[in-house]
Amino acid sequence: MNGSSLRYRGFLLIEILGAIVLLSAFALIAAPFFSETMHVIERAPAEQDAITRFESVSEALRVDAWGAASFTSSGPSKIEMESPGQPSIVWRIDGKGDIERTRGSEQQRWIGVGKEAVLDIDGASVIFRSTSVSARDADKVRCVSLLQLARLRGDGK
Amino acid sequence: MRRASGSRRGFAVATALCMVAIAGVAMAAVCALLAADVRRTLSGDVDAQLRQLLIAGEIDAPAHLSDPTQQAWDTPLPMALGSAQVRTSRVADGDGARLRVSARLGDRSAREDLRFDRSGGGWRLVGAEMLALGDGR
Repeated sequence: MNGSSLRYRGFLLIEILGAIVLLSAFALIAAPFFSETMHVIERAPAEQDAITRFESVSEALRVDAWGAASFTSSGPSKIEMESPGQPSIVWRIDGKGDIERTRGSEQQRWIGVGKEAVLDIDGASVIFRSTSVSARDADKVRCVSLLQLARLRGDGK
Repeated sequence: MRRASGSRRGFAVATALCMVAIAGVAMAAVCALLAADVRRTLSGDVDAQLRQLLIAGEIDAPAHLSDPTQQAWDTPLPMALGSAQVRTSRVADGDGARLRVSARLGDRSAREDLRFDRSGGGWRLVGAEMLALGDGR
């Protein structure tokens, strides 16, 4: 009788308190990680989509800039690229953050990709950079013009 | 009593399995995202190197243009670039010269068309068109 009461006595209060403390500490540490992980998983498809659209803009901008003989800025975040024997190409970010590329009558638009971003001219390159407060120096895409680079080399600069 | 402790153990096992499954799914999803990021970063590096190789091809081209027997040539590259290759070939000759430069690095490649005009005693680049960058993904 004595042995059986010892075997099935259950938990001591101190054991339960210890378990609660341990579980609480674990929950306190793990909860933010778990919630952040769930947040990342939830946002992943939208982020992937944004990255794909950003890469599509960057690639088109690189291709246009590569063969451009000159860049002209005709307003904030509006850049005109001239190439010999080709219609000029205009890149523009409008107030809603949409990026528009116009080449003659052909027009392409990327909705919302240019939010918190600007287009700048820097010597022989066009820079597509983020203006977000958390942006780092690496958060920019430099698109070089081969024609202008060759000209600068020819000028000995 | 034995039955009650057995059902309690079953519940504990089921809970543990659920927790492991949730953690596993979360870890798999995060790992997939991480792998995609790593792949994108690496391909960004390779693409930047490919653009440099295209520029190297353009710089090297005028030295070969005046010799009409040379229809294609490889640009010598530093040993450190390993398997990288830059090959230039003539596409057409008219008043000037039209070339196609192909750069390859690992399993990725890039191509550009260049137009040169005679200028004084040498050649001047008057047109460049990037045809493909980072093919082979």
